[in-house]
Amino acid sequence: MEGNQLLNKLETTDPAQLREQFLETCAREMKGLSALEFYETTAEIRAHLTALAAAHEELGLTPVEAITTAIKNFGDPRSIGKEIQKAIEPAVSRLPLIVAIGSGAIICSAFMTAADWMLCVSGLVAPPSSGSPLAGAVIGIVLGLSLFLHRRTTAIAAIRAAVIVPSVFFFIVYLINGRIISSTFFVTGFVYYSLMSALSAAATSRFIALTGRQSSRLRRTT
Amino acid sequence: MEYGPELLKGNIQTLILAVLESGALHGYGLAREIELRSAEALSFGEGTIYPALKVLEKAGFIEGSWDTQVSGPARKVYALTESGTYELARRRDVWNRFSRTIDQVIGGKPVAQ
Repeated sequence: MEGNQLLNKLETTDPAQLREQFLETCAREMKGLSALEFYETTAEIRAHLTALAAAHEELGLTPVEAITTAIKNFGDPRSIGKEIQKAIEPAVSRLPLIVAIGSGAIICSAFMTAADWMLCVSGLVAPPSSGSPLAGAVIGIVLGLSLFLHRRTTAIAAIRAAVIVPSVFFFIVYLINGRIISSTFFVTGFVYYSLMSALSAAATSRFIALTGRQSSRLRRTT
Repeated sequence: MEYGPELLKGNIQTLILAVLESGALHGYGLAREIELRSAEALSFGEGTIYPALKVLEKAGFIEGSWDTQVSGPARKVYALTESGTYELARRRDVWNRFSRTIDQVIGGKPVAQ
């Protein structure tokens, strides 16, 4: 798809949205990049497109004309994305996925067990058994996979986890018991699971970004 | 006169190394400098710079660092490394030999016996 063809498919006339849609098309081809490589590359291209559009605006084009011309100048977004993906060694692209899932499982397992202990101390549940870290690990695998595939920022990942994980947990409790045990358990449990899910997501997200940076450095020095 | 992208294919990395020899630049600056030095004759999609930059960075010929500006987005600035300087010299030598050979074939000059 050439830049011109992409422009024909775009429906918006907002310059920022046009730029972001170009970036999204490009980004869809860069699935094997680590979180850090992905953010760096999209930030670079965004800065380049912005500067190019600003230069066109200085020559008298309207903001929409300027960004569409910049997109045309830039070339086929899918081909750019594919070439970047190829340039960053596809053979190691599985490593970030393993790191994301593994770190998610370990971190979430620890935090969810902590949430269960907090509920136990509050006198709402029995002391956690081996089921707690296991359930935490399963949640962590889903969390790590989601972070790998969707590459949310740390804050967005934390907010989403804080809402989704306790909601799913209490939905399962409701399905099993036909009711949500007690309102105290629901409120306190929601707060604790929400807090620990947010911390798990934030820690996993940061860990993925840090290991991505280390791996980039390592590849540069070898 | 503009040259098609097929003529540039394979040489974009050398162009980037040559431009960075004069000083560190970000992607947009690289595109403008190539445009300026070629008097706008080299026509290529500016996005093609990025795969080339990734290859050169991975090979250790250039290194990137983030330049946070007072206004506007942060930009990644690339600089030539020591091994990049040697690589540029090697590529220049290869290019000079290659262009001389091509000249000999298409330039109508007889090859010395």
